Amino acid sequence: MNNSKKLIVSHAPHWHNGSSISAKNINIIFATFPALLIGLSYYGIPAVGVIALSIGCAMIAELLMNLAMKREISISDGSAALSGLLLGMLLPASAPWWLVVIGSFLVIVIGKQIFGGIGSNPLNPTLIGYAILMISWKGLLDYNEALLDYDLGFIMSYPLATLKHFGVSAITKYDMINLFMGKQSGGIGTTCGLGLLIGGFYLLLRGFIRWEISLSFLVGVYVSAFLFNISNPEGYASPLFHLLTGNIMLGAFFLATDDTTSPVNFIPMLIFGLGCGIMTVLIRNLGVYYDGVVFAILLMNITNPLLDKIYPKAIGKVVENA
Amino acid sequence: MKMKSFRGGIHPPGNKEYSEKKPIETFPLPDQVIIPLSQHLGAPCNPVVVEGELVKKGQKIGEGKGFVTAPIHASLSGKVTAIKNFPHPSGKDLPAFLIQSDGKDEWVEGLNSTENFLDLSPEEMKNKIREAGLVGMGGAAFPTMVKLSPPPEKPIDTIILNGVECEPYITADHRLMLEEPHRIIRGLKIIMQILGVSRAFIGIEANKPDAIKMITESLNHEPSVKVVKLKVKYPQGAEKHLIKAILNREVPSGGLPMDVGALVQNVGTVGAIYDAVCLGIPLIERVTTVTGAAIMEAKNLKVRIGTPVRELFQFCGGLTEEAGKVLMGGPMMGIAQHSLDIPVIKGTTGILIIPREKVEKEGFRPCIRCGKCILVCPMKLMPNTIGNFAAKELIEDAEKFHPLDCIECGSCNYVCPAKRPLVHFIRYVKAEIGAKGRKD
Repeated sequence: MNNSKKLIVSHAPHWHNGSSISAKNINIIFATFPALLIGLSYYGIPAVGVIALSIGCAMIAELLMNLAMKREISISDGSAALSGLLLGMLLPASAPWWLVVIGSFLVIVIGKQIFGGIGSNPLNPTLIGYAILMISWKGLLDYNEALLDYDLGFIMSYPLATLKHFGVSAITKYDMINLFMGKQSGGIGTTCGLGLLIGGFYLLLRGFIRWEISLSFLVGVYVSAFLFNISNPEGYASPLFHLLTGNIMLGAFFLATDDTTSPVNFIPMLIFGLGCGIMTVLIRNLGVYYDGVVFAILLMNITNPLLDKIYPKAIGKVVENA
Repeated sequence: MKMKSFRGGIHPPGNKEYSEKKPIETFPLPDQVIIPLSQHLGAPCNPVVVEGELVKKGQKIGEGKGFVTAPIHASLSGKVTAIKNFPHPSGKDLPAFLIQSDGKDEWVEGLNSTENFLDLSPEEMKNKIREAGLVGMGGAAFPTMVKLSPPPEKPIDTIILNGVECEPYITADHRLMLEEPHRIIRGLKIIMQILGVSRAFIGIEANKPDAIKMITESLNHEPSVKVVKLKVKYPQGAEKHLIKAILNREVPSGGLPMDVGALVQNVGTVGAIYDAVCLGIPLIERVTTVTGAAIMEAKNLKVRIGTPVRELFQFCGGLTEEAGKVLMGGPMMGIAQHSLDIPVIKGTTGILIIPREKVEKEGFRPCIRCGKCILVCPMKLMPNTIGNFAAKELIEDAEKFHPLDCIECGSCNYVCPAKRPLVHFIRYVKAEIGAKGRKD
């Protein structure tokens, strides 16, 4: 036998199920389509521009950082594209181009690359970028101000702003079904609860995100909003209203479930999700911001190393043989 | 009824169709065999014959010192032409006998058969098992005699036969259960007799209904032995997980099955126990599966210990594609070989050839903390964390996450989207901990 080519030797196992980071990210991007397409159909070309620009700039930022830090080119794994896309989905369709560019660079550079790239960022990169924009250019990200020129045939005032400024009595004009179907103002891809739910279920079924986080997030929102609501029905909105408005659906299925910044064990995942949900409602009901999802998730991201201290006992560490 | 199993695990494609329908063929007498002095866990053997000596089939040629060891025997009659280092399936070059066949294939004298093992005392039977050089034939190659000698404070109440064969591709045990069920059942009765145990289970994965049927029928309503159908899941055949599935007992960390009153034996091993006790034949041949997409015809072969792998390939019609990896064992836990001159040893369950194009050459990426490895780990470990610490050589930090409990099944590696070599990392940590322990 000709031994010109040597046999390949490596460590077991010699098999892999074929999953990869890029496949995972492409699937998550795919899962945003139902909600994203509805958003794009409402807002038209400007929204397409925002999304395209946010994805493109995020990828360019990643490439530039790869080159600057002399590291492996990592734009093909889809992680930068996904972070950019999620930022675009959070922004209003009217966001000026420079805002999108700055946001995308913040997402990649401050959110991810300065920590060492994929897998090393302690905080959700998309939310870091968005939070900086939100604090720096408040007016441009206020959906009521930003979407002033749009009339899409449904109530164009931002539901959460209405709630904050005019109280519970003012929100009776919102029909829950309309809110669920996406007939509300907000970020490009955040409004259609149904679309996000479809995308979220797809990811759950394919095993790309963990049900523990999504479910406990929604439960956290529902339970805490419910407690506020029954303690003072005039002062606080119903839990269903909370669930269907703002960024909660996007947060529960696409933002809180981000791999790197969420826990990996069962109990920590539940605590993390519940924490996100409860913090969101606390910020909405007691804080100054309309929506609390962004800061709630960022806050819970910080608790992550702590939550990591809770991990299950290995098999055989607890001997119970009766 | 819910089939019994354990938490975690993966579902890789079985790929057993290559060879599961192929009856066991006897491989013809090889011209020469290479018999390593170390084919088991424990002390390696020292030669008891010298270069140039004539040996007969079944003659003891190596004997180890101590308790945890197993003697080795010539697998054919002929002349010992060399005792030197040869490539060993473990990847190292280790001392081995090179025996040239004289073509006569004569048995050594003095092997006496005892059809009725009930006439023998447990000690006599154990001695026969020891002298026959029996080791666990499921791959780990732990000396059988040691397993059969639990200390008195750890009584064994249940014997479990492992017919799971969860490793993809490999079908040696499956064929053995179909073709030689009586050998297996008699072997089982022998160990039940030795240990005075009145309860036994035979665990078989649900993907082998024919084997379940065959064994059940052969048992012929034997009340003390029960066949348990197990869920198809990897690593169902791992000792601790088999005990968990069948008896719902958890083997303590660092402990052995005997700590929970159980004894697990591979079905091939008990077949060999029957040969040793009733026929007096030492372990000189075994059934092994030669399989994979690159081999002309996959086969289950009964081969002499020491037959070079290259000859098995020729017998199976040669390779259709260029071999990329040659594995001793299956794709999950098999050891990649660097040479085709390695011999079949006592623990060789199968030989798998992976074509060159199919070999994954991609590097790995950083851990993205997706938690898939934790989800599948049958030992409830955190392979991601151990792997991350290992990559940074933070051995003491890694140690807190119980790397020593890892059974190296490879499930974490199999599902990792970043393709991180987690088993490699964990083995590295284990080796470093071992080295540190020796230094202290």
